[in-house]
Amino acid sequence: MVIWRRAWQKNKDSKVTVILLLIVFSLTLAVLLQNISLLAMTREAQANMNRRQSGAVRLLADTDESDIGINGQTLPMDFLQKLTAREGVRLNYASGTIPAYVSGLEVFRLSEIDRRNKEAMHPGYDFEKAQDTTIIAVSSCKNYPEYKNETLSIVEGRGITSDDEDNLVAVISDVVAKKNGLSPGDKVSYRVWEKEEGQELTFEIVGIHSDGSDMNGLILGSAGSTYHENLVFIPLETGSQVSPDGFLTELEISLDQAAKSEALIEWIWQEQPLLMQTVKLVNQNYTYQEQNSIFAAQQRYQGIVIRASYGIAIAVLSLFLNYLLSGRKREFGIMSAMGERCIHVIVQVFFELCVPFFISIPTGLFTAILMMRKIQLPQMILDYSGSEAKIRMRDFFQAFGMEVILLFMGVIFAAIIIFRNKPMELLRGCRE
Amino acid sequence: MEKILEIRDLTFSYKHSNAKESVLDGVNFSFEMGKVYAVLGQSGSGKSTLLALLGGMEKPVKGKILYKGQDIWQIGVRKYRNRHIGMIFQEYNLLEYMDALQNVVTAMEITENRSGKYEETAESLLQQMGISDETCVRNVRRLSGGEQQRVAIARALAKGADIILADEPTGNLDDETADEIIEIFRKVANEDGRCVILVTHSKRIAGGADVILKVENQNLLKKGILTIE
Repeated sequence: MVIWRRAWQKNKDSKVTVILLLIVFSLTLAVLLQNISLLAMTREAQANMNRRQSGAVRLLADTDESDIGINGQTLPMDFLQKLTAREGVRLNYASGTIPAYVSGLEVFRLSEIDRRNKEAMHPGYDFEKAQDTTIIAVSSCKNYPEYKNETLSIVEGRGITSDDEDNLVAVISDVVAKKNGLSPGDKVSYRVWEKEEGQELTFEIVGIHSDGSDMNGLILGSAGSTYHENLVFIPLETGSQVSPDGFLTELEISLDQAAKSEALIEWIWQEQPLLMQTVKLVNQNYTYQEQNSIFAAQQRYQGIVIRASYGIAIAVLSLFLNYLLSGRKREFGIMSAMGERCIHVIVQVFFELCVPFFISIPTGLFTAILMMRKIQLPQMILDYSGSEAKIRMRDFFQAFGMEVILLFMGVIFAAIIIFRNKPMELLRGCRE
Repeated sequence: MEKILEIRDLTFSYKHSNAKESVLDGVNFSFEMGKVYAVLGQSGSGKSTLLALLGGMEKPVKGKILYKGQDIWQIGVRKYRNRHIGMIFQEYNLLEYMDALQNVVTAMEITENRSGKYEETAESLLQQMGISDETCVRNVRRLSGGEQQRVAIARALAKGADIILADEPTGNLDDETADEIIEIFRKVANEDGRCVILVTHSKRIAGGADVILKVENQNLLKKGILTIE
């Protein structure tokens, strides 16, 4: 308490010094905080990119309608199990299409003209006898392209999730639900294309999807040309069990090591030699490597800025404190002559520095926030970090920690001056 | 009279690059309580060094300084300075960011002798030194030389130390003020029973002391002579 009062009196007497120290501490904290935040955001964005995509082999199954069931060169649903059984392979997302017949429900049917047009486009394919609904087996509804681009949304109940595993649950369209008076909890029956009549499967409706209109819309996405009204979503595992001959339309996997991707593609082509014609295997590693190098360059730059700004802060503070404390040798000598403990003198200097230090926390934080608002993050970081430049608590703690080191450096300076000099030298105000 | 401080075979020299400059060589003397000692000598004769050694601010090359029979370096010089020594300097050496009262209170807070109401004791001491209540709360930079030296004396006394070491305490003061200061020292020694050792180059000031010591030039010091006039 006594020492604190002395420190307070000293600070009251040296307002300019306190203000200068406050500026040094505030600016240091602001610059450190800003760059630590930017570095953290860059790292996080890179990690997000890597988590989502790096090391991923995207198998883009061509779902052009012309391929459906015609040449059999699509990626069969049961291939997924083989693929995900391989070491280091993790399924990010998959969906498959299973043509199916609906039992006892009123669904949209092609008009005579449309049917003829389609048959003209696909000679030999009998649309009259073809499926009257399309089951999409998904690992998760929310990752399905039409949900992602908000063409479709769940208006009642819930979508399919990975927790549904191989349960017989389904999400049907609002138009079909309305036409047939169905709601979540009701049952519907479908027969997948390779099953005979009488082999229908009964699904419990868990959700209703809608495209936001009463009109029957045509989806021209990765699932091919599919009418919303006839679109039914079921769990992926259920799909692969009930229809091993169904075909995958979307498949995205990640590898634990990017280097394994070439070998995996090689293996896929050995397993599915005809894939080359109809399924695009895109090894996105090359793009990711480029992106990673951009991220790395960004991080290097921010690392340099942090080190440089910290170095400058240390240099400025060192010079400043050296000047400040050297001018106080006589004062330290007086204390020493009175028999004051050296540690008490050092603690007094610590307390003196604490005042501008603690005031610099809000001012530094405020400055950092202002500086951060002026920062325009590179698009790539924005894409993967999911937010504009901002300051987070954990970044603040890191910057604060570095600032604390600065504070203790000041104290060490004082200790060096006090311990290096004899009391008489201190009283004379210089070293002999 | 009780011996309070004793110097035995005290030797001290400064090191300048490779050369050694001897300042005190084999000095012996005993200081008693209740007396004012004046150490006379020319500039550079080593009288301030002697005071620094007595205050434990410098370490002797050889010899001992005994406080009540105990080597001050064995007691611990910080502890010795803290409890037994009050120092007064020519340049006053007050803490400039404080007022007169705070300077005295700070000394009392630092010392391990004191307890009780610091401010009251400090005010009373300053009043005894002729410092008014108004001057007490004025920053020491705004006080005259004489006032600053009085504050410095009050600070030394406030510690309750039994030895007061004063290095040219009247060097920056006019004769009248200097005489007042010496009178204070006499009172402190003769009435309070403390030992006051002051260093001065002025024979007039030294004349007010009970015992006058003279540090001769270096040649003589090398012979270890500390003469009493």
